[in-house]
Amino acid sequence: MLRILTVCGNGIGSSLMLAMKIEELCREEGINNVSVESSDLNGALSKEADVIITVKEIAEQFPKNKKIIVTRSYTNKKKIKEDILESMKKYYKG
Amino acid sequence: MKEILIFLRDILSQPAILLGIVSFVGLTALRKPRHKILIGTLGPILGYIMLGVGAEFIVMNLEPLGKMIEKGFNIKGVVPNNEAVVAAAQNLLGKETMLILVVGLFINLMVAKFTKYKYIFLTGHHSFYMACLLSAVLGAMGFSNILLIFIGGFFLGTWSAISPAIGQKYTLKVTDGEEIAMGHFGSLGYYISAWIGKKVGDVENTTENMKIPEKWGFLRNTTIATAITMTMFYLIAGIVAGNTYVETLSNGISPYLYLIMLGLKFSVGVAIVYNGVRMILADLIPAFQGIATKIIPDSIPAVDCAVFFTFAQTAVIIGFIFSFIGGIVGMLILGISGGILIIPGLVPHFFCGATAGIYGNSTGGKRGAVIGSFVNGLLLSFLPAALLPVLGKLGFVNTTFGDVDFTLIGILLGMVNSFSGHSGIYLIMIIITIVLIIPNFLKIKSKVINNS
Repeated sequence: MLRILTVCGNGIGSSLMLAMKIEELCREEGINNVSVESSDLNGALSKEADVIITVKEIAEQFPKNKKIIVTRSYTNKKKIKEDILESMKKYYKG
Repeated sequence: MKEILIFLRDILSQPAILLGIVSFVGLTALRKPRHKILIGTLGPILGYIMLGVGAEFIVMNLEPLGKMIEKGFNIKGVVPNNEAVVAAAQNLLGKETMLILVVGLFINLMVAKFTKYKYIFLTGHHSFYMACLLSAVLGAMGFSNILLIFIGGFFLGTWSAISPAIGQKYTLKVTDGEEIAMGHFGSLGYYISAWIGKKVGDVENTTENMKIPEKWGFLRNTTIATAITMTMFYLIAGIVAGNTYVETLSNGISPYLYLIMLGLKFSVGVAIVYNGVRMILADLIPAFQGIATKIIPDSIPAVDCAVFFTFAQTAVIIGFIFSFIGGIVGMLILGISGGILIIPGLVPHFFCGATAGIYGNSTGGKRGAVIGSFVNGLLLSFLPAALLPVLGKLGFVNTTFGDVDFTLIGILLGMVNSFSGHSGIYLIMIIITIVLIIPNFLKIKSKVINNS
């Protein structure tokens, strides 16, 4: 089970879009055992997750020891796929 | 038998349960697995209860601020904050707000299906706030029950499709032609900013050639940012009201500590409300989008303003700073004229100011971003002040709506109603319907209006 957390400023708008796109992407790639949840910055600091996916500006706000994948876009599926798929597969153990 | 009927009636007057039922029906219709249905039904119910708890907390902490401002400046002070006002409204208008939200989502789908306004508004918390504004404004005009819910849903659903359409040409410029639209009810402020940018600036001289130090990054953490600014405002209000007065409120706690705690508690209240909203929407919005893509394959999702931050990072900071300056200038003008003190909230200025900066930059470079977002900041001060009289009972809670679309629509409906009563409201509905249908009979370049 891979637990993914998407993060944006208030955890409601953009991160939910990103979470939906990632779920879609996982379905297409046959990565079935994942849970994707959206969150704001503070929530993300305290939540249990295997990996955090967010944009560069938010990623810079996290402490260095967090596992983070950076994406260029919250909504563009092509860019999201290019940015996260390889790294996500690394964390995913089926 | 009678008890059962009363029980059923009471269930339907509980907004939390109503929301859960809607969610349950939707998820069952989508044939989701059982555990998903359970989570998706309970989540919104718990989220709604959380919203109420956060609301009580915010209102409790706003009360002393209002009192101190009145004592110190002899005018009424108001903090525009959508989360706070919506939360405060739930005791008055919870059921109506929820039903308007459901009707509005449905009408948005219908408009996208049958007209060329194929925009699906996915920023659920803004739909929710707009539903609340409409229930307050229409309720104050004397509409009620079914009529109130239908008219409110009509305005919410149609504006959800029209607002992204109005500025889609600008949005395409911002995103370099991505298949998304602006889904945020500060939209008119952004389009105005883009229009001003075109008039005053030069698109080649873009903000993105500048470097902004990352130390402003903490502003992206809304809870922390709200805590800092609100604490400052509480301290200023407390100092002007005077120690002796603050001591009458603080129950024996040292006045300065009391003020700091109030500011911090306010931001915690906002965080609780956000968390509640997040739980309400976590399954609702994906379900809504699922339905939308099924029945309207060529629709364009209208998404939250923060999505656009990735297209012009420097404009975000510039937009925020100049919007906030505009807000302060607006506050001073209103204060001097003795009307009402609109305290600029960091959150609306950050999100709306940043987006206004991005739109201003896309048409007019640096100068466009600066002037566009400054004007947006002025609007964020003047419009909430003008909205207060229209809100009826909701105008007395020391907080009000911030973003431009909420306030403008509220003011417009209020003006029409005082000018020509309910018939004026019906007339607006007829005009909107005509505006929606006309493009069906015109030849335009693409299937979706303004999307080329």
